[in-house]
Amino acid sequence: MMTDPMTQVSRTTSAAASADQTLIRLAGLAKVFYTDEVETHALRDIDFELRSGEYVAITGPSGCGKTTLLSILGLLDTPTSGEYTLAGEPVADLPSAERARIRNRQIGFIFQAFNLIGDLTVYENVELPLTYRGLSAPERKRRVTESLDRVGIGHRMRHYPAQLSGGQQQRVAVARAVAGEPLLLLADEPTGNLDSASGEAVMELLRELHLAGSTICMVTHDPRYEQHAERSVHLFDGRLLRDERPVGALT
Amino acid sequence: MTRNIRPGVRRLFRLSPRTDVQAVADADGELDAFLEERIEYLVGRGMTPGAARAEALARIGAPLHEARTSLRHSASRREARRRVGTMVDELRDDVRFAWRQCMKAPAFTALAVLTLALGIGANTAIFSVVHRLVLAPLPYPEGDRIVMPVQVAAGERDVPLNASAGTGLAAAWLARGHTVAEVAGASQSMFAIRADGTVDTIPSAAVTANFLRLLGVRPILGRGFAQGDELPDGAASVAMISHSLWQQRYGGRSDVLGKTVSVDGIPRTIVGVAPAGLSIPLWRSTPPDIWVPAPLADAASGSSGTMEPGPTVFAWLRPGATPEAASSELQAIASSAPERPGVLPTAENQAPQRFRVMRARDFLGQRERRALQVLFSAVGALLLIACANVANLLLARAWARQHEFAIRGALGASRARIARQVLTESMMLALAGGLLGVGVAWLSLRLIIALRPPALASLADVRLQPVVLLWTLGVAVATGILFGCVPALLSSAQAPGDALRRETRGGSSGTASRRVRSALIVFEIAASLVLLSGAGLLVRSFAALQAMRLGFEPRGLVYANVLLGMGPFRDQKPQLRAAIIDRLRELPGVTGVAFGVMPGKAFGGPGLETENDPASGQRRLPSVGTVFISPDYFRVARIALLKGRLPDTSIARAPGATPRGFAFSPEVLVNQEVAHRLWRDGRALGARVRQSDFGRSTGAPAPWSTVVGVVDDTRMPDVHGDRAELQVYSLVPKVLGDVPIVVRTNLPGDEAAPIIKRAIASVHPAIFVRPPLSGDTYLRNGLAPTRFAMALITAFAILALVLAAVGLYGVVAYGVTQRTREIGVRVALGAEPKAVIGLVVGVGLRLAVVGVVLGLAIAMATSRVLRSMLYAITPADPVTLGVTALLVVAVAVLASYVPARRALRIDPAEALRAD
Repeated sequence: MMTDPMTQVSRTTSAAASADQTLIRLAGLAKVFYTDEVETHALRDIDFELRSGEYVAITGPSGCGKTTLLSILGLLDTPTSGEYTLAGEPVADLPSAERARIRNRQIGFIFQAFNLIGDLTVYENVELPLTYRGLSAPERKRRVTESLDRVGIGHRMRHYPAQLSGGQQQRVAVARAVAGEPLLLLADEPTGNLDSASGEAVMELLRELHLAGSTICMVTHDPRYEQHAERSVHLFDGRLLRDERPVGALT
Repeated sequence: MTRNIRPGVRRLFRLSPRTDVQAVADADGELDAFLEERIEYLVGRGMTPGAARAEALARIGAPLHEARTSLRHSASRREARRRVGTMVDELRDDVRFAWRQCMKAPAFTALAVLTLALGIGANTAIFSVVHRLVLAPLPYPEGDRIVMPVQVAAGERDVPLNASAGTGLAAAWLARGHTVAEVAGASQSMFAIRADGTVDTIPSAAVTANFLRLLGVRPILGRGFAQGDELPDGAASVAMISHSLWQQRYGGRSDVLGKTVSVDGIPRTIVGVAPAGLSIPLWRSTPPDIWVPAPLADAASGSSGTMEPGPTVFAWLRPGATPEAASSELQAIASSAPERPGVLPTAENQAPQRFRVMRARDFLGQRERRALQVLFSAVGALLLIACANVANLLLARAWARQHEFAIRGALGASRARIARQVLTESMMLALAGGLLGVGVAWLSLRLIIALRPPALASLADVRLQPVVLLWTLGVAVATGILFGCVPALLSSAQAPGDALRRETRGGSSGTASRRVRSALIVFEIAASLVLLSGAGLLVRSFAALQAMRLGFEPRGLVYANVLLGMGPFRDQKPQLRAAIIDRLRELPGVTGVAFGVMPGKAFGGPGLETENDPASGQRRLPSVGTVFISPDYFRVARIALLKGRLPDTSIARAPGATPRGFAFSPEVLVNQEVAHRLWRDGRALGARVRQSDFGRSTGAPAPWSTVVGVVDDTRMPDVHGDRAELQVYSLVPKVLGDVPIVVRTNLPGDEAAPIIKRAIASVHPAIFVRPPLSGDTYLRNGLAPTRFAMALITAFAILALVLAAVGLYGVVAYGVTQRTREIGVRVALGAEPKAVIGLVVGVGLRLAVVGVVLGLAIAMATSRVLRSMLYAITPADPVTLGVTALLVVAVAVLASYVPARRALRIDPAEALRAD
């Protein structure tokens, strides 16, 4: 098979990963969006592996497919073709209810726009995924309190999102993502809506989570924050162009 | 800022000075400036200030105060014209923009207009009925003077017991009162007529000779009735025919006058033709085709034991007399009279009777009035639901247009200006809804006419009259204001800056708007529950009526009234009766024939008293219905004989024992209710009874009769059927003029009725038979009022529920749209489909539950208005309310489930990207 030069990616990390440590494996993954007249190839032939405990940054210019890849990784979207294995289980073609169950138990999301629910308090926002999981009230309370304390926002748990600053809202979003103790944290431009000081604080928080053992996959287009990851995957026009450890990456 | 613009600049740029005060100030300023400049000029030319001022004032051409006043008036008028012009321009702009908005969203416009059309149309249709039956003035000169003396229920001020307080009291009132000018009586019936060789039974009226004169009605041909025309027996040989009968039967020829028509066997000379459509005031059945004169007592006697409705006594107040004064006078006369002939007592203990004088136009049967009240309330609620629905739609749209309103505000539009823009759109929708509503009303009226009960037969000619259309216009305008004001207020209440910021930054979804919309939906659900519970009660009542134990079997029973009273049969009645019975028995399918009336019908007959008993004294019942029968009657009608035996036909009344009228036969039967009231110890058999006010004028008492049997109570199949009537069954007297006959047949009653009529008529060519009444028709007529109310209220209730469901759907669906991102977040966090459905349906369910609780409270509080329309069920029936509440909740869940399914299709990735 002819290899496209654009797919000459560096696989320094993934190639070395042993099978039992691999959390995510993508093979030949593609995503095509169809409209009436146009076929848009958002992702093409993506091969990618992520080991447990890794902190990877997905970078690339606008429209390169970063968010689409993150959506597929988070089971919010399905690939058009290719394989996706999560923790050893193929998940590309699961029914929506099963995908919801996996999202709830194994994946935590941090969004650029925080996506907190305005009508719920901080506590209730963090509690929400635990409610869907069916945990008991005391267990939920324990986890919510721990998570909020962990991100330093425990004193604001009765507030509503609108009463918090952007940085505080993102901390709540992080707390919500980690409260379920997921296998994987997916962060989509987590600093995109924050000023630089708040952005740094959130990145520091993610670093701490990584050091504590969390597997993090973060989409960013800011080179400063790319340095926080131990590994960087660069996308361009839907193809995986580079997969490398940035110079000076935090480990 | 514009306040400081100089008047001249204002005029130059045609800027409005805004207020009259400002205009006057401008005029003053202009005049003062002229004087100042002129004086300055003249002083500059060497004049002294005083002379210069005098010269300047002289230039004005009029005294200063006159010039000032004139200038002020001129300025005010100019500004008023300018304001009107501006208003017209703005209104035109608003209308044009509103039209574009409506055309831009055709589905929205269609839904709003259709919703309003349903509400306004139903309202208009019922208003047409109310107008026809209640509000329309009597079409007679000085119709306000026409009153009706009525007996009212003890303790209840306005509930008439009977349309007539009695001719005796009316005559006493006329003789002794000062408020009444004249009294007239009218009784409508079905007369058998023979004219030009054909026999027919037609609606007819017996009226006092002064009746038409008092109505101010003049015959279009011939003459009316004179006092001498109403003399009994023989002399009363004139009649007046209706315009339609004149046209149909006599081809509209003028030589009809002087022709003879046989009315119930009595030959009468036609002396006049009544104007088209002439009817007895307030009588809601078909207008009479033949009018005959009768004395007041006869016109109002109504005790023939036949099936015709009772008589009506009308009175004409003297000019200036009020119904209140007339009521007091009538009550005083009634209370002082030692004997009140013709008065219907209220209870067996002769409780004080209460009378009232009501304007004829205010008089309507209590049940019909209540039914109309309920129907009017129902369509009122329906209209409010429609308003709430459209208000909801407009609110949703207004919220979506916040940016537009913000830009308008930023460009200088005042709150009132924005509110007026929104109201203009509301008014356009309302007027379009009103226009379409006229069509809905027309269709609804056709439905109402088709379902109308016999008592409302006059609704057949109800039309959408101009006054009704005016009502529709008023309702449409009020509706537009009602549903438009909330969106208008909310639209104009937003600070432009807030709205623009929200537009660019995202933000709350309009808490105030959402709360108002939720409140409207709660109201809609509550109102539809009230209507549905009313419909449910009527449905259950109707079912109970159908299953009601009548005490006889109406199916297969036919009642015919044969007239032998006058004419050639005076001495042949027993033989003709026997011949009729024999002829009927020969008919195929006939299994029994007997004398007697259709059971269940109550007749207000004379009182009944028992023999003085040392143990219990003498007991009396003030009014007991008398049914003249043959012994077979109970078998034919299938009325159970509970105790004793049938009367012995061989026992004859001693000659001379019946001084006047028809006394009871020597042996009688009573129904269970009479037995219970008179002999609480159950010893009815063997007791002796007689009519208590028999032969009042001669002072001779009625002869005693022995009770030999007790039969089951019979009931009319209507909502008052739970009250058993008091009845005595006596053998038919040999001389009775009307021969009531009941026939039991295997054929369906409606099929057998014409066969029976022909068979009776075939016995002798001169016999007249009124239209036979089949038991099936009797049942249908009894059920008709309940069926009428049930059908209409149920239709309105279903419509209300559909509107509420559509409204709820709209609110929930709109909520889903607003919460797309939130739902996306929840799905991203792992919410499974059932959780999403639960989330969305929960919103609708919560609103529904609040609405249901509110609706149940309202239904319980208002249920008593239905009490008089219900049979065998209480207005607060828990089963009906419970089932209705469940139905409403189920519909609410269904209405919420549809948008919930749509919420499931939200792509979380898409929803999150959309931000």
